[in-house]
Amino acid sequence: MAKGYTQMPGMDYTDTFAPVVRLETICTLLALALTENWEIQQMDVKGAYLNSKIKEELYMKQPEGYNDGSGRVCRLIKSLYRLKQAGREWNLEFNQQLESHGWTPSMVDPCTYSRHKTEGIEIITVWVNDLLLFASNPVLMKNLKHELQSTFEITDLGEPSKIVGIEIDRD
Amino acid sequence: MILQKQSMENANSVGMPMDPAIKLNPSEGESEANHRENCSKSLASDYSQENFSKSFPSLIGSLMYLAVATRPDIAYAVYRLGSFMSNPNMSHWTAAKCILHYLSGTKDYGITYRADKPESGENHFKGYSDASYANNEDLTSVSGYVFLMNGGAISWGSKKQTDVALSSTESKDM
Repeated sequence: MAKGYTQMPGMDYTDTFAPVVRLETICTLLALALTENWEIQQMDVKGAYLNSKIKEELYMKQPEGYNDGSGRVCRLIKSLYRLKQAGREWNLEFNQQLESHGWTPSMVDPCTYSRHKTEGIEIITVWVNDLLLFASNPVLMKNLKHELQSTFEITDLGEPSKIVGIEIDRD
Repeated sequence: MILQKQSMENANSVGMPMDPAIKLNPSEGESEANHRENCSKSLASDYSQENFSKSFPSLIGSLMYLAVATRPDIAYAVYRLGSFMSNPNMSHWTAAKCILHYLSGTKDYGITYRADKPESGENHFKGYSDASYANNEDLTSVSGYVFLMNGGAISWGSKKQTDVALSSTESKDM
């Protein structure tokens, strides 16, 4: 964990905001997935904040336990938890990855991505590192999971049971 | 969870989250101190005077999350109490307790989306909205809306209007 509270605005970071998926989008997609008989799965990106590169030139003291006693400092290449910009940089990184894989963010909800294929439609919603995946058939869903697993270190949570504190149950 | 925090897991249930005719007034100057005193006296001993003004916003905050997440049925009651967050009196506390009583009898309520499509084969959207007229202390009105997809609520809200409507027609138009 970095000591984000020592960071100076304007020098060590600029913007810190990042979007999350709208609750209405989740509700609408759940309703739609039922009538269209789509697959719904949930995944969780591990150590999400560690994935993104930092734009600013940031240095920190060597962490306890990893100090070589030379008095030198570490230059941060990638993000750490508690950095002010960590959340925003992760969102930008994730957005960039998805766009490079052919996903398009929704005009009305930037945390909802869709991709149309001849086999059907795929949709991803993002709440920080918590993903809901929608796919119009099981094969599409299987491939989608493989694709994400090869891009990020990610946990497969199967059928969603809880998203942002809301319990979900499909019968 | 919220009920546990208020030690109301087994509270008696009521049929409505809030009396629709309830008058909720802001606490005022001198009477406010009295109110506070009365509140802390009549509340369980674990609520001291400062505790009261702290625990009220926290309770309303919890209820708001519920109203936003899965319980449109308490949205109106919660949003009305929301405007008294910073300066609650006994009547607001009682109204909040009333919501908790309602919740204790309706714990298993949620939103169900169904797989069967309407006969037309198209997804079916329906929206409702309405507004009260001048029922707030400052004569503003309250708007409410809900949108349904195949009978399941996907978006809803309840909001105090920002200007004073001069007629119920104008209120519904805001």
